[in-house]
Amino acid sequence: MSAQSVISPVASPLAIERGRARAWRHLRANPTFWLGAIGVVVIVGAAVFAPVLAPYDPNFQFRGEGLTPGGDPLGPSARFPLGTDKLGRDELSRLLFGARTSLSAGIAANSLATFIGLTVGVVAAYFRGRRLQLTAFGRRLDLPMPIEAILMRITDAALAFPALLVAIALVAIIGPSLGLVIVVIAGVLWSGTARIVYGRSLVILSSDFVLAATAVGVGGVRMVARHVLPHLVSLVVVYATLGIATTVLFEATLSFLGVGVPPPAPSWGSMLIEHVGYYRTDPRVVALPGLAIMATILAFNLLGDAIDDALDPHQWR
Amino acid sequence: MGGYILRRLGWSLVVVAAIVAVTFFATYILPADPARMIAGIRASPQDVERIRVALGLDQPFLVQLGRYVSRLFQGDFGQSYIQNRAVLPLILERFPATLQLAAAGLAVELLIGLPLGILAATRRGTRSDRLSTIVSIVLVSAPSFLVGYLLLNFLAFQPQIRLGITIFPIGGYKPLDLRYLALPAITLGFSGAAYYTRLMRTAMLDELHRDYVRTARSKGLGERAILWRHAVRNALGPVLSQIGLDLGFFLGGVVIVERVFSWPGIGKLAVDSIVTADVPLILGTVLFGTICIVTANLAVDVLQVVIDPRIRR
Repeated sequence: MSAQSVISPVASPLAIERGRARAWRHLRANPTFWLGAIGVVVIVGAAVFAPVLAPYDPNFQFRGEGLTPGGDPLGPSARFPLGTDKLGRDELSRLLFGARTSLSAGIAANSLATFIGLTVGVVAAYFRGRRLQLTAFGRRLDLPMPIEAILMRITDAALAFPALLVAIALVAIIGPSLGLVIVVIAGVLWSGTARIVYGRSLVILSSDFVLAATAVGVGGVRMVARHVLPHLVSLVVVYATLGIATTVLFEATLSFLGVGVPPPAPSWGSMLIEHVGYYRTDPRVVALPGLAIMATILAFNLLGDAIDDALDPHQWR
Repeated sequence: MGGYILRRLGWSLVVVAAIVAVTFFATYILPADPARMIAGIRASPQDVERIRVALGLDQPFLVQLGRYVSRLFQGDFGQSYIQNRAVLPLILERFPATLQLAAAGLAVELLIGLPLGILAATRRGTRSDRLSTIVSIVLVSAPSFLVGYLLLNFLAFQPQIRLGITIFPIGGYKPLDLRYLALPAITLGFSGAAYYTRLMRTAMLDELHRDYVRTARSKGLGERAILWRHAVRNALGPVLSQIGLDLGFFLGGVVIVERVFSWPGIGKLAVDSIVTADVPLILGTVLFGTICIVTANLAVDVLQVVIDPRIRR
C-alpha cells in the first residue's frame, strides 16, 4: 500500500508533541482504526490463547468420528464447530494454532526487515556527501566515502529481484524451516523500507534544526539518535503495520507453494494447499484458511491505513 | 540525455550480473546432486561420476560460473536436466501464455483501480471516498489463491454441476480464448487494482490543487472538462510508470495465479523447476524474471526523462 502522504515537513519538538495529540484525536474518530485495531487484537488473542481456546489438539486425527464413511472431511457440527479436515483433524483448533505460525513468522520477518531497512536508510542518508579527512604521513588526505552509494545501489538491486522466485528457490534449496522462512522474507522485503527511510532522512538531515545541532557540535550517533530517529517514528510505525500484512501474505504464499513452515505445524497457507483437491466438493476447507489469512491482512492494512491518515497533516483540515 | 541513459543501462547490467552470481551460488550449494538425478537410482557410481564430469560439475565454483556466463553471452541458457532440452526455448514457448495473462491482468487492474481512484479524489471526504478506500483495502488484502479458488468454484464449477452449463472452463489454457483468460485475469487484477486506486487518488488530489485548475475554474470551464481534459491527463504520469513496473514484474511469471488455474506460463515453469531441482531451469527462469523487471525499470526511467527533462541529473 502506498503512503506518499506520510512525507510531511519536519517540525520542531513542541509541534511534534501537539501533532501527536492531534493525530490521536483524529485516529479515535476514525471507524477504520477501530475496525483494524479490534481485528488485530482478536487475531493476536487467538494466537496467544490458542491452547486455551482450541477444543482439541490441532494435530490429533479423529480417524473414525472425524471423517465421513467415504473418508471425506466433516461439515460443521456441535462437536466440530467448523468441521474437520481431510485427516479428521478439528478445523477450528488448526485455524487457532495456525494464527501462531502466521503471526510469529509475519511479525518476526517484518521486525527484521524493518530493522535492516531503517539502519540502511539512515546510515546511507547520514553518510551522503561526507568525505573522510585525515592526516597521515604528514599529508592531509581527503578520501571519498562511498557508503551512501554502495548501500543505495544494493537497495536498488534488491528492489529489482524477482522476490517470490528467489525466496522459493532459496527455501527449496536449503530446506524449509521457520527460521529460514523468516530470514528469506526479511531478506527480500527490507529494501522498500530502506528506500523510504532514506528519502525521509535526507529531508530531516537538511533541515534547520540539524544545522543548528551541527553548529553546537552534535554529530555521529548522537545526531542520529536524538535528532533523526524521533522524526522517523511515525513513518516506521505506519510501514511496520502495513508490512505485517505483507509478510503474513508472503509466509502464506510460501506455504501455499509447499516451501513454507514445515508440517505438522498448522500454517494457513499449507492448510489451504493441502485441501485444494476439495475446492469443488467442499470449498469450506479451502475458504476457511484463506479467509483467516485475508482477515489478518485486512486488519493490519486497516490499522496501518488509519494511522497513516492520522499522521498526515493534510487530513486535519 | 544519452549519458543518463547509458549510465542507467550500465547499472541495469550490474544488477543482472549480481543476481546471476547470487542465484548461481545458491544452486551451487544445492544439496540435491543433479548428476545422480540424471543417471537414475540404479546407475553405478562410475556412471554418475561420468555425467558429473560431462556436465562440468566437478569443476571449482568460479570455473562453473565463468562457463555459465560466457554461454549466456552466446544466448545459451544451458540444458534442462529433467526435460533434456535447451532452457531458453522452454522459457520462450511459455512466454505467450504469461504475456496474455499479464496484459489481461493489468487491464483488470486499471479498469477497477483508475475509476475508483478518480471517484475518491473528486468526492474527497465524502462517503464514496471512504467506501472506495475500504473497497481497495479489502481487495488488496484478498490473497490471490483464495480469490482464484472461490472464482473457480462459484463461476466455473457450480454452474457446470447445478445448471449443466459451462461458462468458464475449470482452469487450463487456450491461446487467445477469453473464456480461459477471464478468471485468471480477474484474480491477478484484483489485488493490484487497489494500488492503482491509491496512486490515482493521491495524484488526482495533487493535480486538483494546482494553480492551472484554479485558472481553468476562474475562466468558467466546467468541472467535467477540468477533470477529464486537465487533471486526469496530468495525473496519469505516475500511473504510467507503475504500469511499466507491473508489466515487467508480471512477465517474469505470475507464480500463484498460474498455479491455481493450471496456466502453463513462466511462473509455473519456475516452480516446477524448483520442485524438481532442475538447476539450469531455475537459473534460467530467475534470470529471465530479473531481465524483465530490470528492462521495465529502465524503460520507465528513460520514458520519464523523455516526458519530463527536469528529472535528469
